[in-house]
Amino acid sequence: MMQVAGIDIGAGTAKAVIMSDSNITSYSVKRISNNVVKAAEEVTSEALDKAGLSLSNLDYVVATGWGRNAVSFANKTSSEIICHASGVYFLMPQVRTVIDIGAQDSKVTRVNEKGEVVDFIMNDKCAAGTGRFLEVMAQVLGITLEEMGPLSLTSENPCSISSTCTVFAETEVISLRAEGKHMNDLIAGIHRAIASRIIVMGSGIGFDKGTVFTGGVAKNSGVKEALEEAGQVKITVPKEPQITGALGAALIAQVELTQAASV
Amino acid sequence: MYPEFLELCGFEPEEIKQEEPRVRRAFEILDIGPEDVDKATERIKTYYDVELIGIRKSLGIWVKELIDMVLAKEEGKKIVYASFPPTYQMVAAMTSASSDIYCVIPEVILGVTMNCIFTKATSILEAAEKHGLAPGLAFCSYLQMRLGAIAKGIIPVPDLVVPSCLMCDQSPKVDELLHEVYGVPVAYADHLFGSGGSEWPDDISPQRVQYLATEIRNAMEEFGNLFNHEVTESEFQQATEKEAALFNASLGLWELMKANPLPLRINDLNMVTEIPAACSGRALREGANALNLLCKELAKRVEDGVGVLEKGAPRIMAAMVPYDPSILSIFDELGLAISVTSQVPSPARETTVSYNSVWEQVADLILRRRGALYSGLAYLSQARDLAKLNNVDGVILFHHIGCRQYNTWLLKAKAVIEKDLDIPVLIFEGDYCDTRDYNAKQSRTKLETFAQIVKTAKASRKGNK
Amino acid sequence: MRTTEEANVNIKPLDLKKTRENGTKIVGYVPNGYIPVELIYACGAVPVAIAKGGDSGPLAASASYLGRFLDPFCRAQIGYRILQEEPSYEMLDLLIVPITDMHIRGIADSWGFFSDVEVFSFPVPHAKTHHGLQHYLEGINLVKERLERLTGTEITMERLRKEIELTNNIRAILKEISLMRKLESPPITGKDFIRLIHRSLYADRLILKEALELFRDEIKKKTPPDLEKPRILLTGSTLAVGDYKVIDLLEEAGASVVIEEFCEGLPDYWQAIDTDDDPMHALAANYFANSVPGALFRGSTKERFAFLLRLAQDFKVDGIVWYSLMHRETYDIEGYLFHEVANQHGLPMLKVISNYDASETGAIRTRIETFIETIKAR
Repeated sequence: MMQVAGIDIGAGTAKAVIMSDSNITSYSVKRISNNVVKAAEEVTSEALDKAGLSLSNLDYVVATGWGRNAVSFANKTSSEIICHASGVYFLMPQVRTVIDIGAQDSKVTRVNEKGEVVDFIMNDKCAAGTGRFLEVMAQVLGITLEEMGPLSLTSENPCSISSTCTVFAETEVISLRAEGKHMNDLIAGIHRAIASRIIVMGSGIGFDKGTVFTGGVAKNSGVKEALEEAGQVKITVPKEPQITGALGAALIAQVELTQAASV
Repeated sequence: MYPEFLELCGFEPEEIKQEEPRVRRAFEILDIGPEDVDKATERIKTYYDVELIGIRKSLGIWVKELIDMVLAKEEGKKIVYASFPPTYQMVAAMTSASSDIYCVIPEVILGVTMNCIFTKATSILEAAEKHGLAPGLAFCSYLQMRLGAIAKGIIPVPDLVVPSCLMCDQSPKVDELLHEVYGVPVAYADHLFGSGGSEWPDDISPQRVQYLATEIRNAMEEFGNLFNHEVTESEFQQATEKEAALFNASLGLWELMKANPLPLRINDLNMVTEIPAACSGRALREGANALNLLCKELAKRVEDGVGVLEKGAPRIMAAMVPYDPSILSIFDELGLAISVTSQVPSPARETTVSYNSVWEQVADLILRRRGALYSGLAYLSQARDLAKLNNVDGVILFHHIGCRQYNTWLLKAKAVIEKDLDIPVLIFEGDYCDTRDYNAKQSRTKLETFAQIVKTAKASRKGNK
Repeated sequence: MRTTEEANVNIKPLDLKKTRENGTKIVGYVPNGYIPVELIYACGAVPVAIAKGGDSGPLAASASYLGRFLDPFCRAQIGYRILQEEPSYEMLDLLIVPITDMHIRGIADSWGFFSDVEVFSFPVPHAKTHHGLQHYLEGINLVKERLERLTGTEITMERLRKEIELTNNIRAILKEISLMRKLESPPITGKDFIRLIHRSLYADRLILKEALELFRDEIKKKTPPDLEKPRILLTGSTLAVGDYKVIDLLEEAGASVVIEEFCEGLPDYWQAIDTDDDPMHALAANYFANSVPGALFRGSTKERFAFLLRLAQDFKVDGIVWYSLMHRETYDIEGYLFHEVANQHGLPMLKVISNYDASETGAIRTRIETFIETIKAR
């Protein structure tokens, strides 16, 4: 039985998925503090522990994400755009567009019926369409990221945040708060702002029936709803949206192993 | 002094001895010290194919031109700075006019030497930012190198500037700034934008040919008056032929790049094919030799079946690339064979119109040869046709952020090429000379993903056959 | 807070819908000073200035059609069209774009590639040379031919002369109103004058002259309060219809914009078009040879700066606000150069850059307020 692992080192969190024979054996998610190399080792150990395995049991490891080169024990690295697409397609083969909002960047990826990436657009120049935007706002409002989704869904009158820049939007939110705007309306407005940036960025790629939302921010139900409204499209979120990158990496590890075996 | 570095740049032993005082003086002005040369030597060994003498000689052309440029005033020359993209024939004419007159496109020389080889572009860019080309406004880093180098005093204040008006508004304006601040006269050879209903390439607007011809003639007249050296039609014709000879020497190279496996890396290809584009004195005098030498060496590689990438690597057309060798080496790592760039001549579009003057002939040639100089529609038609002709597996459209016209046509070009040729297209944003915001680390994910898309698409096309 | 009574600048716009239903052709044009609208009127068509700006929504929508390193006015136009936010943009039979620089070319290319409106572009030479004038004349002759084909109506020289005369009449009144701002206490604010010009762009030309005369007579009667406000010359590349943020902030800060000079969005009214000459030659002379060149011209600084300094002198200006749109590089560079020239003539200058972003307002306000305060303190 071939055991493989996919490790996704993002800017905020490290994720590991252990797979065997196209089944997910275990996975783990860990916040990265300072040491990226350590985080990679730790998240992998955690996942291995859950599976009752050790590093030597792994036949192939693929690393992805911004910090993929810090995974010393990886056999191969792969772009996170490819990995997320691959991971999502495995879970939901009807996917045709993947929206991935990470801590420091965001992507919209087009996938064909075979799960192959055919086009993509990536924003890594501006914090406004990324998880960072939400982090900054959560801090300003004195709440946690997890609270944002449920709170925003109760809003009936979302605020309008016009600033396209995270730094200026922060100031805008502070002044709106001072004016007495309700927390849920503020958060709903923040979600609308990030959603519209994503929809505009991805308009060349297109959103249709098979749009899937992954990445850490996908756990925020408020952002999902805002995306659906802005893009006029139904969006699906996988049960564990944070691990789709690592899952895709594990799938690629399997393919590599199979190819090596057939040679 | 610096024998290893100069040898890698194709200097012969006698040359190293002979040029020592000039190298010393030039490096002093450029603030290039021993550690800088050590770093540059390592960079050259890492990024350029120095086992090829043709590559060494090509590197030498750039380094020698840098030295010539920095010392031109001290060596008693009258100096003309042309700009990029140049009206090549005009630059060739000014370069060959007289041994007293030194003509060069500073930003291109600085781009290859100070940026790619020495990685000392930042302080030059910062100087430009203080003197009129502020940061954050997407000014062209080429023009920032031009202004910054003059502001820093590392290249002399010229006696004449000839901006590039062919597809740029920024270049003439920066030269106007040089005029206002440094008192340098400007000779504009203006160009009309907008097709007015007559399309490229079969229906080139005669009005635009006439306008450009008149402007070239007038600009050459201004040059002539200023330096007391009239450039006659026949002299201009000779310069045109010199430029054509240099350009033709590169044609052999493009033929060799069709070989499988790819015989030369993109870093080397880019550096070498920029030589005819630079059209400088060294390029005109030594360029053809270097290119011919390189072609001989590559022909041997092709004959022996030797290449720099694996056989069957996906073929990519890159309409311009960033000048950063560390980004270009990512293409090699990813196994993407860039065999076509925008320096490749389009399928020859011979004119059927006969003209009375060489000015009109040259104007027609310029408008016909590069779609980008004609209109947005022409640009994307030419890009698509080149991609089709060379049967490439993918296209990279590099978007130098300081270059305004690319904003007008890139999105349409991507859509058209994808639709008509069913191959993936990446719009790759970056900067020619500024590595502060755009660098290898930042580019990696996009390039890796694009490589994957190209390989998958290629495999599926093969499968469909 | 207005200290001068707001003028009634409500000059009714032409009912485009009805006009169109009557079979009249609607011709859009980019108002960069190089399209003689007389040609459009002379074939019985109605011109519509493609001049809206100041909104971030259409700008954001343009991201799929144009790269972001062009000025926001030029990018936004395709955004307005795609979002269907501007009714007049939906009614065009033709769009004429005189191509001056790469930004304006962006309008021509984006509409050409991504809308189904036919775009007719022609090149504008960037230098006021003799052969430049000849080429410009050729260009407007091409426009004339295209318009004739569109409408099936010949543009006769007689009709053209009539339209030129009407333009001259309208310009004369606008000039008269503008010059009233030379007074120590101008009877009309800068904002109202700009709104007047913008409204005139869309008015029914047949009633415009009368409407302007009425307006002029109204404000002549006014006795504005005797307040000493800092007098400002506002200049830059484009003052779009709806882009009033900067002028509002100036007036809120207690300044009085007494004169403005923009290359796009504010048509010229200073001189009359020669009616003795052949009409096409007269149009070419007026719109190309005798107009102040934009910064996108080769070697424009001497003439533009001289003109701006003359305006500053004539209108006894206390300071200059240079209003640039983001990425319009030729204006950025000229702004850098003019700053020196203005200071040498004892005129403080403030440079403001906009990307049509609502979030900039705060920062621009601070800078304008500081600038006006320092002028008041002198």
